[in-house]
Amino acid sequence: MDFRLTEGQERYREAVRHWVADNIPEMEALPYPADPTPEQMRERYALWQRKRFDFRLTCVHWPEAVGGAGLTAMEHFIVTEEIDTLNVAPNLNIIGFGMCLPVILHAGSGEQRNRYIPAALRGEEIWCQLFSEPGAGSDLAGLTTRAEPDGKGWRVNGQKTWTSYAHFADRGLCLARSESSASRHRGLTMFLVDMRREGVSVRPIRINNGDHVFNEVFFDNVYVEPEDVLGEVHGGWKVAIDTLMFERGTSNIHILMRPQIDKVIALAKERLAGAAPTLGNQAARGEIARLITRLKVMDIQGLRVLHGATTGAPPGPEGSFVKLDWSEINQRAQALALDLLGPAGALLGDNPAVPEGGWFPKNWLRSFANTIEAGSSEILRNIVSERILGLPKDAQRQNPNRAR
Amino acid sequence: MDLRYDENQILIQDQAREFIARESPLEQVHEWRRSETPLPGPVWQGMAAMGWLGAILPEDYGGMGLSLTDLSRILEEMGRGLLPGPFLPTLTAAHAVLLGGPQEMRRRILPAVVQGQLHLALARTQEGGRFDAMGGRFFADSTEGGYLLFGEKLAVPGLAEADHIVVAAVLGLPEKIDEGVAFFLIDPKVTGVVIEPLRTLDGGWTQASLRLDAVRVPAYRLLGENPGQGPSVNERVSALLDLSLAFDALGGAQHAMEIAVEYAKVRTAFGQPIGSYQAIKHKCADMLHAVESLRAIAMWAAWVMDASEPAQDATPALAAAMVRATAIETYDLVVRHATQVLGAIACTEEHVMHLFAKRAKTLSLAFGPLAYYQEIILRENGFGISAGSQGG
Repeated sequence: MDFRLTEGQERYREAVRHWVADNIPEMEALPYPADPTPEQMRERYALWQRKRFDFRLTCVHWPEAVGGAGLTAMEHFIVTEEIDTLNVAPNLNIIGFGMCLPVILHAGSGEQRNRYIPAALRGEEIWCQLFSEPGAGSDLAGLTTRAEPDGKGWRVNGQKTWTSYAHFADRGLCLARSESSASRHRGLTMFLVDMRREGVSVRPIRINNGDHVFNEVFFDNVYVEPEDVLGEVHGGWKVAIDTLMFERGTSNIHILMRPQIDKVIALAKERLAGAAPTLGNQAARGEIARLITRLKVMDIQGLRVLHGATTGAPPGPEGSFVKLDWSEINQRAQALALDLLGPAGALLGDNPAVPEGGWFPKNWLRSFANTIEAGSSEILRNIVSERILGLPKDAQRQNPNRAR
Repeated sequence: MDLRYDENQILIQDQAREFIARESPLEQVHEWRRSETPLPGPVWQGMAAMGWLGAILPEDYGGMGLSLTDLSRILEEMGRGLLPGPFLPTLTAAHAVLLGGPQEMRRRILPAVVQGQLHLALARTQEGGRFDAMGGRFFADSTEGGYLLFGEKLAVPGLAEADHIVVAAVLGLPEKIDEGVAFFLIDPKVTGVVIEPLRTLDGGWTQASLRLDAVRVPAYRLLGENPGQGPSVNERVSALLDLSLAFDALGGAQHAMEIAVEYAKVRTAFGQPIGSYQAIKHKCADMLHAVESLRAIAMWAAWVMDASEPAQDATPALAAAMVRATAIETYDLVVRHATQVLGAIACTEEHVMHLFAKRAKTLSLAFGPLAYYQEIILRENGFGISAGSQGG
């Protein structure tokens, strides 16, 4: 039992820190407004990503042949901690690096890997993931977007939703129904779609706090080349499951959540440190102690998943615990922040009386989706109880051929 | 990084599980509890023969010199099997003797503990609004050639069975508490020691009250070269206790969950196994999530305490408080959910679930409630509170 990084990994972390210290001033010197346009965001993302690629400091656990550094998931974790949490540039390709590209690396042909992975690592292409539909969220296999053969290729028609960063994306990983007579899970195919192609339209969804992260995506007879099928034709379900396992495996989302949770802890420290426990703050004290403890648990669970990944095992259902942890912890943390702020927690806008310009209530609103996005808590509980504990599927889901 | 138990640790755990399944199966524990029978002497002797009583004591005293991570493999199995008897009191009191006792005391006590000849008790915490050894109404007044001990402790585990008692007392008289805590080794048979066994919620975790009426204790029975060593002995022994209780909770919670999950696979209602309904399977998932969370932090806490160099991000005191707080909440959640999954049968005397519920509650009440550990977590994270208001 040893929780320490190896000496080599510690040296690697040091080297990454040095690189960050050397390269951040240049980025900070560039003009970048507090409320950037999409073009400014894209420009800054591309610049920073290119810089990272030049030093092979992104997705370092991928093979050198596709632009990684041929290191392990542990070094990838170190880079995530040391670089990605700094938010030097907007994280526009988080979906690509966490889900789409790992599954291309895992299930794609050599040609697909070479065509798509280096371009994304150079910061040239941004990816989105086109799974959920208005009528198919947790029940993903109920999706109705259709792909019909057209000559050698395919024509895609339908609608996707909750698509993060689709308004930036150049390419999308799209699950569509390729054989309508087949069973729900068997007639699906995974496509690599060009988002710039004729027939693709993207419409923003404003979330509860006014931010634009998600989109609706419409496909109107969009052509997809035959070589852009990922995995087997009609074999898309397996690819989709693998994608979701990557999301809960090495995507390190829980690390990326840390800065916003740490912000709440800092606020709590400012409000609670030095004050004796009173009836008025006892509940908050208990809550913050629980938060600190659960963060430690989450970190260790993340390391356990990572440890599995470095021994070569494909991501398993254990990653579901980390997803449950980060989503539930962040929701409780953001709610706690507002409790600590009191009436000021309900104020927005640029005024000295408003803490952090209303960041806390806005982020509290954003956190509502945490237990729904990236696998709802209910689906995750189904997965762990069925796949780890061996509980039977419910009667409705036991029959994959039931009518749609 | 290597987050697996090594071969030897797996072997230790397998042997512990076999021993407990053979010598103290759960049905037998249930029967002992019904008949209010203590752990039979031969089982204790068997534990001694397995080396458990000296697991973390140095080989100089006949011990095995194992790490806390090694020991945790045994503790988890003990918790799994709800093994009764004063193992934890003996383990922790012996550790206090090892850390603070003079050489003569160590030579006299520790090899006999290892061989299963002595039961020990650790009378550390007390009531009165304080849960650390510094609290309470228990004083040692220095006198010629030694100390005079006064005071009461309410619920001391393993006390009635103990051949020797390690007691924590505040040096000085009530009006001048300024010299801190000290530990003494007391013979329960000397004049002035009054022990009254109490009936307990968990019959496998015996407790008794202790009163000392001006008990004269010679100076050589003080643990530590000087009285000032008390706090460091206290800190290390309480960390050991917290870690041990957490692994006991881990094994117990895992077992209680397994009992409920197995039932959910075979019990049918409305034509389906109840485990196919989300209302039930999500409770099972929550149990597993809680158990695996406790397992994660317990593995880490044991490693922090084993490390020769202090960990970067945690003191042993913080690790101990975090693992204990997690254990309290986990075991409580699991027995409640397991009972709900099992249904009414789990609320009967006949079913074993109440044994787990009683152990869970007893462990969560022993040595301080959740809020006490939460305050330690806050203190160790820079949420310090002003001196004077510190404590449970």
